[in-house]
Amino acid sequence: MGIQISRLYRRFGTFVALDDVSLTIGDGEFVAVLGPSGSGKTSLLRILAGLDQPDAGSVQRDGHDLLALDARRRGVGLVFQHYALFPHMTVAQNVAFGLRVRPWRLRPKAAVIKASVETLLRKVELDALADRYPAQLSGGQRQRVALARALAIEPRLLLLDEPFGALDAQVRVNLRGWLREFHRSLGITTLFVTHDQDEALEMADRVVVMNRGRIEQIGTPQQIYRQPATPFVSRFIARGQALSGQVQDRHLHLLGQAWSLDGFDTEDAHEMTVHVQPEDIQLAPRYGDGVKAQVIGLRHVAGTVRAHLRVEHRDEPLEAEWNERDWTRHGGAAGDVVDVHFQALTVFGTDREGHVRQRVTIHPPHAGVSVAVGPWRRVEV
Amino acid sequence: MSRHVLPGFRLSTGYTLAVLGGCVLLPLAALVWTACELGPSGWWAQIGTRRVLASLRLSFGAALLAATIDVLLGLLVAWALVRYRFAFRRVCDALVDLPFALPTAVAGISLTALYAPNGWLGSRLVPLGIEVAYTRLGVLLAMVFVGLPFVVRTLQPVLESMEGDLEEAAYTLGASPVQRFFRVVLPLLLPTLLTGYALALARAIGEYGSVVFISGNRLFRTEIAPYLIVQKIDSQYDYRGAAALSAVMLTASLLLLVTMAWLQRWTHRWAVQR
Amino acid sequence: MAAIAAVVSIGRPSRSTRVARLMLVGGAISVLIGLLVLPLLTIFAQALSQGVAFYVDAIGQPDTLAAVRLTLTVAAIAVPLNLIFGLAAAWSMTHFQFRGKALLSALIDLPFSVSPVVAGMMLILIYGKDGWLGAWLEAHGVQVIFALPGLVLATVFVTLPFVARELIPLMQAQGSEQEEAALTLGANGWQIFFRVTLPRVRWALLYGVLLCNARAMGEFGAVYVVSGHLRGITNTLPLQVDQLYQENFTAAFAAASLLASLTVLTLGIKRFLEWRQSGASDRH
Repeated sequence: MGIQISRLYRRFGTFVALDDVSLTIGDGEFVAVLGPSGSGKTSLLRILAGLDQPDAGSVQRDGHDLLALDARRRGVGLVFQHYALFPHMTVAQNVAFGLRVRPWRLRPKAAVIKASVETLLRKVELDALADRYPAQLSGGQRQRVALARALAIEPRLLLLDEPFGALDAQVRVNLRGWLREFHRSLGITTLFVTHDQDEALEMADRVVVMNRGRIEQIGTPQQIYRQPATPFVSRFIARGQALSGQVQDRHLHLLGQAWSLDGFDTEDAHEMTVHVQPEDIQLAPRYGDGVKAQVIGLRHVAGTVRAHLRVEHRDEPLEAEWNERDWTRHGGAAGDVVDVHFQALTVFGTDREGHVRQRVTIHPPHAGVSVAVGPWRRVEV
Repeated sequence: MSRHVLPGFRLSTGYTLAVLGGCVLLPLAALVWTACELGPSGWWAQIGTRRVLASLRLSFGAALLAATIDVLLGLLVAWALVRYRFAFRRVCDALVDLPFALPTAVAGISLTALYAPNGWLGSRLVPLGIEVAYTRLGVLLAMVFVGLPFVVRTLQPVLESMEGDLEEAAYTLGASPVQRFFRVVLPLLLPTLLTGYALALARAIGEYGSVVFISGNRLFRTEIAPYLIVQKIDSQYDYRGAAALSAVMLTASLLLLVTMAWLQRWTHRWAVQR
Repeated sequence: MAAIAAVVSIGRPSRSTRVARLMLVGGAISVLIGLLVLPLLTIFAQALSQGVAFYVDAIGQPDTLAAVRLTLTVAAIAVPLNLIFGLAAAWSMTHFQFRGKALLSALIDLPFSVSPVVAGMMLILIYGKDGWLGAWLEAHGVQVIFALPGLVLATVFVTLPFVARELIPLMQAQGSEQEEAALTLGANGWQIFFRVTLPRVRWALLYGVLLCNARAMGEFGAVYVVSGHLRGITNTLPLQVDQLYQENFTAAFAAASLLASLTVLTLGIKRFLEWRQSGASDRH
């Protein structure tokens, strides 16, 4: 059953925070809402938590109206971006808070509260720090206290607002895996918002990409990355880079090459956008074959080489990502002119309102012909 | 659907409005009403006398001057307290609040005793030809006294937040200490200084207790406007005259309040930009 | 001024900047001593100028003791009223957005900029014999002006903004996040207020109450207008000081020294609270 969010609207003055947002979350699912700041993801979270109300739309949980419940009866655990731990309470008191404020008929006995706080703190590996104050903890520890505190009320939905936003890069990466495992062991339906692509793609079962209050795409991390539905998703997540060319006779003419636009209705598209991802710009197997590009910058990052390439008709450099080994075999330095192949291009056709109507991934004209493998690499077709 | 997520909106806002309505708006309305009943000519008949005009001139004139002096002294004190560490700094810091917390009448009699011709300072100043007690200088002194903490307390947090980086930036760009002060610090402090000025001014215009003792209330010379209001109520039972004069004072207060709200927005804009 | 140890803020201290420092700090200390310390010392010096016995006797006068009692009574009513008002106003102003909020904020500040004498005048226009409610009050046998209710109303008016002004900036800076966190954990309004909000603002609240109390006990102008100065009946301590001042200089200073002690105590506690607060923020 899970949670059905349908057609949420929310505006603040003239700013549209949520624009027709619909989403279904399955029981036990781990969903990431990914978007830049101002995309509406936090608004969505606050509405689910009961800290805000939409202008229109509904949220149902197992067929019941969730919006009708006020925040304190909703059973939604929220972990705030900056944790919002109570500074005047110890770790244990923070975690016990949700149980201690229950109406006394529903309030567990002190001993029971104590036991469940201990259990929770053990789960988040903080049992040794129960009597510390939040200010005496590290960022990662605070985050786990906030998590334990939210879990103490046995929520049926767990919401995390930028869970790693306030942490150091190193702690961040460690906690990702920990949280993923933690979710697996608990099985609570969890929704977290983030602006960090890696975080969303690495952790979530499904990713919801938002931009300007609208959902751009919902899908598994692989789908989002390999088949971005809109130019925005392509740019924001798949690092898609726009190229310009001309359309003639159902072919796209781009940097001296003609690409067949099979399966794409050029008549229907008001505007076309062509994107290429960095890993789809590869070194050509043979000299003189492909597109000429001047290497204007090289950065070596953990086994890969990120090259900035200057090509014709494009003011900004294109970024390409190569295997370090390939680049070493190819040889060269910044300033050299190299030949590159575009392995795949994604073409979006948008209508007058800017909505994406068509999307195809096209392959180079020589694909299937030029399978010739150089001495140092294999071309996958 | 209510957007007020946290509970208690009606209770807290309702109670606030009820208290403000009963304690502030109702009395305010009574004064405005009474003043309006007089009409312009009736109002002028009450205000236009030599005695009242002299008192208004003194109240506003001395208050403007006192607030200016407060800004200069307050900047000095706030600067020293924020920028330098010295013995008894904390005691000095606590002392700044003295005029806030010292009952005005107590301040009034002690200033008078200090500056009276037979007082500890007065006996030294009078031979030099400086008469403070029972003169306009005394009025000024009392007004400076009550206004000082407003300037210091408004400036302190701003000076603290400015400490270091801005001036260091100017320093690395080659500015001399004097340039740093006049080109960086002072322009940034300007809205705060003006807010402090307005606060001190408001307090000085309306001040009664600290001033009436040292002023001596000499006819046409050292009578302040609040003293005349009290006189009209207390010994002449002239409520209309008191209301007319009160209306003038109230208008000045409201104007200052609007100015301060505007200054606050100004300060805020800079705060956001930084 | 030998004890002054100026700390280097930027740059290398040259001779001229050291001189400037000495002048600035020296100037500031001179201002504080001349303008603030001397008047304070004068009070105690004058009060004791005719000996301790005279001092004790002056304070022991029945009228003075009655004035002390009245002052305490007025403060005991006015301060809690303003405490509740301050909390309600701060809660409303910091946790909600609504139309007219800026106006409300200005209204809260209004008593700060209105002359106390004008405040008293306004009360007379309402509750006085010829005031709006005068006839009705007289018919029901309630006396406001020249009685305790008038003193309380005048004091409440003058001290109204103290607690609210202390709380609002702090609560604004703290934001609503912790209250929201408590809400999602199932706490109701009172639980949020007492367990989350109040503990976090307790020092500021105490400080506001302290200043409010000092002002309430020391209020002169507004109370002067509505009191009627009936010795032993409607004279608060500051009014008693005023009356004694016309008759017996030293006795007036004896009574004033009580109020001055209250001031010193208030400032001392405030200093202590600030010290505690900075200690607490180290821990939290």
